Amino acid sequence: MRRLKEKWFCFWRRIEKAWRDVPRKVKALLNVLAIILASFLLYVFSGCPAFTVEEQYRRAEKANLVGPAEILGTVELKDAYSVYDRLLLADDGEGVIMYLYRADDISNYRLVYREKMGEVTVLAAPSNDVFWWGRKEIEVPVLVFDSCPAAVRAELELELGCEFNGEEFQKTYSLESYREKQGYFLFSIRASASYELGAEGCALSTLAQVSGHDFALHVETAIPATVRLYDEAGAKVYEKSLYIRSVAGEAHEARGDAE
Amino acid sequence: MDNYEFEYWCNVAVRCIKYRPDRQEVKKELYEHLEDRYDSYLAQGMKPEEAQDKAMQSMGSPEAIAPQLAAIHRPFWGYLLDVSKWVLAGLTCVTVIAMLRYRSQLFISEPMYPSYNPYTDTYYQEENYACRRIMYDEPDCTAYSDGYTFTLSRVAWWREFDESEAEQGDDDYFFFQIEVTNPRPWAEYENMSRWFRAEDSLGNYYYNGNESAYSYDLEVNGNFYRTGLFTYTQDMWFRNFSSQDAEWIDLHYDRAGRDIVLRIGLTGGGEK
Repeated sequence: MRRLKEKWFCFWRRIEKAWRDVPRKVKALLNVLAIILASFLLYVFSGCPAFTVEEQYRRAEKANLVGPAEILGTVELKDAYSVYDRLLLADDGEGVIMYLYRADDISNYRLVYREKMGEVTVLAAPSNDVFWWGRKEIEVPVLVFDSCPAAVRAELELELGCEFNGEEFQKTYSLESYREKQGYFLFSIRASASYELGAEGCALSTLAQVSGHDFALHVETAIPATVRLYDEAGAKVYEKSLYIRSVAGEAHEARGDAE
Repeated sequence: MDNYEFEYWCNVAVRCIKYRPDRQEVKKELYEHLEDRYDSYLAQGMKPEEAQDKAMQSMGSPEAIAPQLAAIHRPFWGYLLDVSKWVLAGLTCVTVIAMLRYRSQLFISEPMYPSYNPYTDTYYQEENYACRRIMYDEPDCTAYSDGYTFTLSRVAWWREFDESEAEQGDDDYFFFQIEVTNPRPWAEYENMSRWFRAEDSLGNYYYNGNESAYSYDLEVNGNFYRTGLFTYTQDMWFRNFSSQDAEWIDLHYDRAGRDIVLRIGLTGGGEK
């Protein structure tokens, strides 16, 4: 043991002497190299955080095996109950991407990819938190993705219905929106109640859930929608009626397996 | 240093050297030179004060030497060494903390099988029923997309028996594993096992986990977990497995313009 200790000290002294003899320039360069290596390790062990929203979004695209898509814009979500406060919208030609994230923690995100419904695609922001129980107010952003650059104004009619605790709700929402960014129109549906949201909250929640892809329960839900697009002169350039279905609903419809 | 004249001379000579350790070192060296000369003049028989003046004169004017010494001893590498030492020490501490905090990035997760490991066990018995593995294979079928490599590494087909050991062909369970690797440490991976659908040689269609809605739907589903710094494993299975007579099942990921196909052969595997 003592000999081992002596050998170790001897070895250490040799290392120290050798290090003393190394020119200062070489020492500094070795330190810089070590700093680069340590920084890389730190970055890896910290989970390789992204530095910008776009960088994080591009990584999420790859992780979800979708895209690359053109980023259309970002919408601020004002729902106090939601985990996410921003919605980034993108279009890859075949489908649209709704990317929910937190502005103060960009690593916290949820990406939803939906195939296009044709020339226009109607979807709500697929927030996970759009449950209405115990809430007095709910706001659901609705998006109409379009490929009609001449259109500057859009009208959307949505027929929502739901039954909750014996309460029947059926309403046709007529909404209007002006173009702010190319690629989509943004609408918003707000509902409020003096005590607690009932069937209307359920209907809006269903719209948001159907727009995402985690709710296979909504396989039979088909929400009718009509979109009308108008150009600057006020002339109608496009009109279409369609159904908003869940991913499961679309798949079963395509295979003719719906109940 | 007890000769104040020499020390003053040295201080003037090194005052332009910016890097303090260099300044001290050069000062010490100059002082030693002065002392050597002083000693040699004393040995030649000079008086101490005379020898001191002569030693300083022989070294030249300290004001003239100062800029020359500063030009030789530039401070850049010294400062770089000092700063890099502290930065490296700090960074090492932070890296160790990060390693401890984010050790989940390093350590491998264990798969969670309900009662038996379908790939290593061959038989499992409970009170009312027993299961036997009837096929095991390592197909090593590979596909690539978006920088990820998908490898179908293991498949296992299990059949349930009743108490009398009679086969019940409709209670079959089919498990398979897909290894997903990406050499970029910053590459993330989501649970794509819920987006794989399947079709067998008989035309049976298995919905993917996000599309399947009814209890009678044939379905592909799975979990995923990290199994290494660059590897994820998708532990997958078929629900309502109905391909007993099929030759193969093709797994498809055909969303967003991708076309990942992995084929599971059902006729090989030895144990069947």
